[in-house]
Amino acid sequence: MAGPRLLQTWFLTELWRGLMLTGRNLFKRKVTVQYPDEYTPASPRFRGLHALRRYPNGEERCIACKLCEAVCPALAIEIDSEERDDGTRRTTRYDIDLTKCIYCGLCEESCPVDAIVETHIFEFHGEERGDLVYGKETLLAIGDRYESEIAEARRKDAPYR
Amino acid sequence: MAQIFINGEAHEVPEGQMLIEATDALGIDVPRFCYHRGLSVAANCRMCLVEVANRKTPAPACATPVSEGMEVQTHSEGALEARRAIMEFLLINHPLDCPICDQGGECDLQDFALAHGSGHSRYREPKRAVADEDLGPLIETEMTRCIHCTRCVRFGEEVGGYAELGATFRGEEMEIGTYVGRTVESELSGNMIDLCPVGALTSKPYRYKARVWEMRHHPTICPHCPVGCNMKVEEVDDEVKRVLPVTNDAINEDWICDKGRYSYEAVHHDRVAEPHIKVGDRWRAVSWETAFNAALKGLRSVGSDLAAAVAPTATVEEQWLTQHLVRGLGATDIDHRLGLADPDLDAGVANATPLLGQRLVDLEALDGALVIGGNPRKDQPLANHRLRKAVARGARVSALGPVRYPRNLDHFRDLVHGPGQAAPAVAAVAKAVAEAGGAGVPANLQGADAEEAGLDPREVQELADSLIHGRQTSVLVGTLAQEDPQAGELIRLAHQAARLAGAAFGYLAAYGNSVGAWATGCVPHRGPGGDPVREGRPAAAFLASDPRRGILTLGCDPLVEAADPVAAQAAFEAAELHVAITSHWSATARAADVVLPMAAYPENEGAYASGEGRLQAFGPAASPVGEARPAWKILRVLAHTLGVPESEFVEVGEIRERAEAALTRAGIALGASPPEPGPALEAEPRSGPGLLRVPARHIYHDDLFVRRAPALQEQFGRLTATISPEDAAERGVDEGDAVRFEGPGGSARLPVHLDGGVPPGVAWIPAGEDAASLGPAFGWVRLSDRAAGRTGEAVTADPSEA
Repeated sequence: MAGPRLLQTWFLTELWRGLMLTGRNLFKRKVTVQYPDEYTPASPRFRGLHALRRYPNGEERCIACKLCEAVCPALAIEIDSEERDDGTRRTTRYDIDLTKCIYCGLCEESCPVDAIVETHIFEFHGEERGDLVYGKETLLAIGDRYESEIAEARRKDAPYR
Repeated sequence: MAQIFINGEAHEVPEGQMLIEATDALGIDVPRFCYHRGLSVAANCRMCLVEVANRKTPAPACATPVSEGMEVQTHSEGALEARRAIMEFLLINHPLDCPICDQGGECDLQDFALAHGSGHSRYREPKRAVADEDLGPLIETEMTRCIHCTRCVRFGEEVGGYAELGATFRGEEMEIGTYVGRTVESELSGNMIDLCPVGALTSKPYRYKARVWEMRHHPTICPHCPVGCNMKVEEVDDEVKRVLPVTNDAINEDWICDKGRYSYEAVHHDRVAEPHIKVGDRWRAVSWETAFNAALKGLRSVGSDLAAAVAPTATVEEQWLTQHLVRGLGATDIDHRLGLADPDLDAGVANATPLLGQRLVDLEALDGALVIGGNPRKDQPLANHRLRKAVARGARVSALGPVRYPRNLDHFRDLVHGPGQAAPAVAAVAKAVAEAGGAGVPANLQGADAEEAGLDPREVQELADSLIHGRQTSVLVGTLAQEDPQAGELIRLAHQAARLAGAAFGYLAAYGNSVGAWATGCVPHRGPGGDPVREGRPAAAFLASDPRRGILTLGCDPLVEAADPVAAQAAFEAAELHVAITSHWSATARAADVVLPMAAYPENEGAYASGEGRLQAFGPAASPVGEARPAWKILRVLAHTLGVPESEFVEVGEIRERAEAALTRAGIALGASPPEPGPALEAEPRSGPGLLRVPARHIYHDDLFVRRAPALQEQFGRLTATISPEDAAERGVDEGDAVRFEGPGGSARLPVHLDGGVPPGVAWIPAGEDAASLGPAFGWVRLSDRAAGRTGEAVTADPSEA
């Protein structure tokens, strides 16, 4: 610090140094993201809201193996299964309690058919108790709606799997 | 004993044992697919390869006998490498569909692939695919998954008694199948599912219902037959998913029969979920309070003019408590022997507690045995399994009955007596035994004549010889004989024959707790433990001509199971009050005034006394459906509210103490001999205008619980009438024709099956829902004139016809 304490006091050097910092940042490139008008870029591995996917022919992927249910550390998934009329193994119930879920991604990891996935969606809410328990139909609908994004995210991440 | 060295450690093992038996006994893990301790050694999977010193190649542990000084390495590099190679071969053709396979999680191949496999596959060629077999409603197949261990094939031949499955072709082409596209009908077939180390054979009713890791296990006891197999019920979220055997070498070894395995399905079908009362002609579901009030009001008004029919599949606690309630109200008529057609049994034999008279394992050691009037293969499948083992050892097991049943063991003599000649036939055998013994023929047997009873004297003589000349022999009174109109005399004579031959005497009881029902006093003439009581009348009386004002039924369905269902119907109609405590809707429940829903056996707690005298307790595996409650709680409230003294029970254990005391007083102990029968009254000869009916029940149509199990009912198909080809030809009836039979009570239209094992003059029509309208189970039937002109019409399951 230049000069004796008296000079610093009289010339307000600390103030000017502070204002210089403010001045520099005033003209710097802004990093604040104007959410919800703007979004930060998300990794293809982002673990948000769950979705159940279908094959291109419309058949649901899930085969009710219950590995996700077994692996889920928060016990957020509940599945009931049956033999469908065509003899295949299918779920009759696939519930995810999103209030229990810790978004660890193990369900996605354990799925042998890439049926349960976590999407880039993180904005969802419920207004009543139980609203955040998503059933099979809801999860499939999410999958249907965002299939292109989901598929794109899988494609991008494929080289690292 | 031989000293061998396993992994460097010295062990003493019995000489002649296979290496794998030694390692199993020592708790050393050797993986295997084809070896099973209950089956012969095939040594075809090669998974149990171990290294033996001084042998160039690895040796299969299951087919290598131990020898003195043998040095074995079970987990050496060489042994592990050999197993890794075997796993690679096995996985060449095995599909990698574990996520949808029901075996996933309990699959030997999956476990060993993890423990011994290499982790990646070098195989790039197309995999083999095999068409599935339709093995019927109980077993689902996925033959592509088969690894050809042949356990199922060996089980069929060695335990089931029929070669139902077999291997065709060789090498990669090898396929397991039924040869000719038939379904598997063995009563032990479900065990193949347990034996199958992969997911090739799985349970059809359980298919895709649950995963093994999410189920909770509850040990339980099978209620259906007196063997008392140890089982476990598996449940998820209070819903029963399947039943599996629990190994108990003294009882069921590793097996259970299909009835025990699949009857759990009834838990979810046709259940009474709420108390009901009948208002006018309509059922109204009501609260427990309302239902209790209705029942109590009725019971108070009928007072001691009450009769009770108790299921022989109820627990000892329920049985004890029912008789406590009924006798506490001053009533005397209580019985569990709904099918008993001999009204004089109690006056003669007095105490026919159906104990086996030996342990189950003793059956295996018999040299000779005679089964009178019963089909243990279907009635007590795992007791029959012990007899099969005895036969395999060279025992001479004979049978004597009204028809020749399809058996799965080679009988020394399989005798069929003339229609209605059950007691005279046994008398002829007893006489032959007396003659062969050389000690003179007792006076009561002087008049016995084999030929009059429809038997070949020479065969009877040979049979008698086989009973006398064995070191350890047994005379067993079968299920059907215990209900015969001549049961009293028959039991007395069978006991006499056993005494004369120096053989053990015993019964093959009908149900899981028949012994308990006798001992806890669910018979009209004996109190708990045989205590003297004011004598009442048996079910044959109070469910027939002479009904009481009030009837209480517990867990049974007399309108199907009674000796005369038509008479029972009349008795119910005459009664003012009918309280049915039942787990399922049935004809009897529908005829009731008040229906109180009780827990079915997987939801119940209690104990059963098995045929060999073993009291086995079990706990609940799930909560009762709907409003149903364990029957002991219902009975407790009724007894307490009606002022029956000493009815303040809080726990089932308090009732069990009393029931157990009764069992002890009655002399029920493991291997105990049944009591000596008293002097029986002379039986009346049976006759009638047509064919004499033999009502031997079908294994899957036996008690109310089984009749509500869908998969078993599908396997059962429909109640059929089996008649002799001679009678059929005479009346112009063909196999499969639907024929109207007329009995003393009414008529029923049944499909006809022809079998040479049924003698002319006899119609084998099992007791059951479709045959209830015929009237007395041991009655006569006539082929209706309308049916005589063969119509060949299709068999329809029209309940209004039956």
